[in-house]
Amino acid sequence: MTEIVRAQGLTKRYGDFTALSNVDFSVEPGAIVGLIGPNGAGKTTTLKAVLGLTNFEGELTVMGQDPRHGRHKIMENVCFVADVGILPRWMRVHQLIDYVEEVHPRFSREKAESLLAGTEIKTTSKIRQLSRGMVTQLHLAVVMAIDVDLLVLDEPTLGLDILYRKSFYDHLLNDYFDHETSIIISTHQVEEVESLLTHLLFINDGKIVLDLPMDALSEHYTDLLVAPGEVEAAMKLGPIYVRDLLGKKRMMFEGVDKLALSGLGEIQVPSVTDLFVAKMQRGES
Amino acid sequence: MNQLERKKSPAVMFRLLKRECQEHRGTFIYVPLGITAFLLAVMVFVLLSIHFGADTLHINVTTDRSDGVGVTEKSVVLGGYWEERLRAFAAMSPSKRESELARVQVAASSPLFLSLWLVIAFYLLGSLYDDRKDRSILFWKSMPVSDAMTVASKLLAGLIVAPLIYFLCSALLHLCLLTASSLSALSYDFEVSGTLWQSANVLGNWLTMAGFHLLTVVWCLPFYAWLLFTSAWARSVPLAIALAGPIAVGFIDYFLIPGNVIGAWIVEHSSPLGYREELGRDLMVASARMISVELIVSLAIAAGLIGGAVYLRRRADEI
Repeated sequence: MTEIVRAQGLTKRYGDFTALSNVDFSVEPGAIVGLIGPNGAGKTTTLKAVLGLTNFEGELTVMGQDPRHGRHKIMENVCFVADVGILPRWMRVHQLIDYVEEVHPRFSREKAESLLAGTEIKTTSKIRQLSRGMVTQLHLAVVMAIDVDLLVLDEPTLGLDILYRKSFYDHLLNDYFDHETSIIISTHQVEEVESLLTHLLFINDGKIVLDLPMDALSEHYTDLLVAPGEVEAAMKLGPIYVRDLLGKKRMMFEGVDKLALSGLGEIQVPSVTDLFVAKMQRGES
Repeated sequence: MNQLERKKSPAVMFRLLKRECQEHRGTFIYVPLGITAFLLAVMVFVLLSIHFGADTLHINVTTDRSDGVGVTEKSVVLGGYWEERLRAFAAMSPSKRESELARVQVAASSPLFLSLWLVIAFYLLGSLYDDRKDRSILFWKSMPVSDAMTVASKLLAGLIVAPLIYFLCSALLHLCLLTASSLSALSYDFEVSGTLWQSANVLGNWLTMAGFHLLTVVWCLPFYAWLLFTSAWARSVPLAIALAGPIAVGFIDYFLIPGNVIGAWIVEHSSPLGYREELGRDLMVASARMISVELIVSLAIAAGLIGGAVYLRRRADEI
């Protein structure tokens, strides 16, 4: 099967401001892609383009279709959860479930109800009466009951406390992910998602600064805890990121032979968080 | 990708209309029920007053005489006035009775239909704006429902579904009015109670009123379409834009174009047809008189505005 999402030269301008500049990326079936960048980097704009919620220049296809035309057809196979507060506040929970059941061909009422049974959400409650965490739980329960090919999560845990954030991603992995559905998660909180991802997309100032499968991370990037006396030799190999750690130097290298590095200290696979910081700092310098 | 059967459009449309009724149950359901209950309460109160305090209660009656004598005002005893009206009614010819009752039916419903006009206007004005304001548009757009379908559901809900509920309330009001009047009339010594029911062409009057509503929808479609378009277009205060547009056009028209054609057109196509005397009360005659080049141009403008609303909705985002 071909890519679920394919973007080439994706560009979005708001007047003089360029929110996205010539962005290329693709999402393979079954991938969990982290679209990671600081606030204002262009994450939401990218996702809105994918969902057919905004106009753009360049080429973009979602399951072979241009999202600017026929959004409603694409939405039979795509689900979307944004940060809290997009569920209609006037609705009651059972009205929401009835609605989705009657307009969405892939919704399973039983599944939604069994997911909700595990929460404190009552079906007679009005959405405006639920806490932020409960609204997100509800939205996720509805979305998880829809059998789609692509799930788009735009900062889904923004504004939630740590308990809800943790349970959100636990549910996502345990109850939802089936290796067939692709997921795009945008976030600026890297540490929350790094264990889930199969693919990394870092975005900054409207440009993709890293496009890397997770399993290629260890191949391309190496973290080195430099042995005393080897700092100079290590610096010659051109680290992309250097920081001090308990009196020692820690350096990150891109595309440098691990054999050459192993003689200079202790080597490790860098964390996504460190890689993110390294890439963002590089962008600024 | 497993293919599933798509939901059928009529079923989805029915669901969207239900959604509108759920969201707007205040103005679509409770307001007409409240008005009906209030009118019924007033009616019961008046009839009880007639029967239990007939000699003591006085009212001021203003009569606009059709024979050219002009407006007269007098203070009468309520019970006596009621009896006088019933007697006059009993003495009327059958056709006069029928038109008299039709007039009463229309008059009794007028509070309902005046509020309906306001409800439709404000409903349409918010229909494609409110969900952008509260960001729930992101949820609605994540459902496999086309934008054209969404816009159509808003028009149908405002112009057909809401009026239907008001009509049902108005029908209930008429039936109660007739029942209560004929019960009250039983206590008088002349036969009028049966005459009331025989003379009332209740169903016919309902159909005429519904027919006139549909004619009004067609006639005022540019007005409704403008509200819908504004709702899709405005980034803030749609009411201000909805008013400013026609006022600006009317202003330019008043000073620059001889004859004030556009201004008059705007006013004509914004007011319900029921108040246009020249159309008469006969549905067929009225529809025939309505057909004109002007109407075709108006419908073309309305179609343009509705198409514009769909286009804007397609690109719409939270605000």
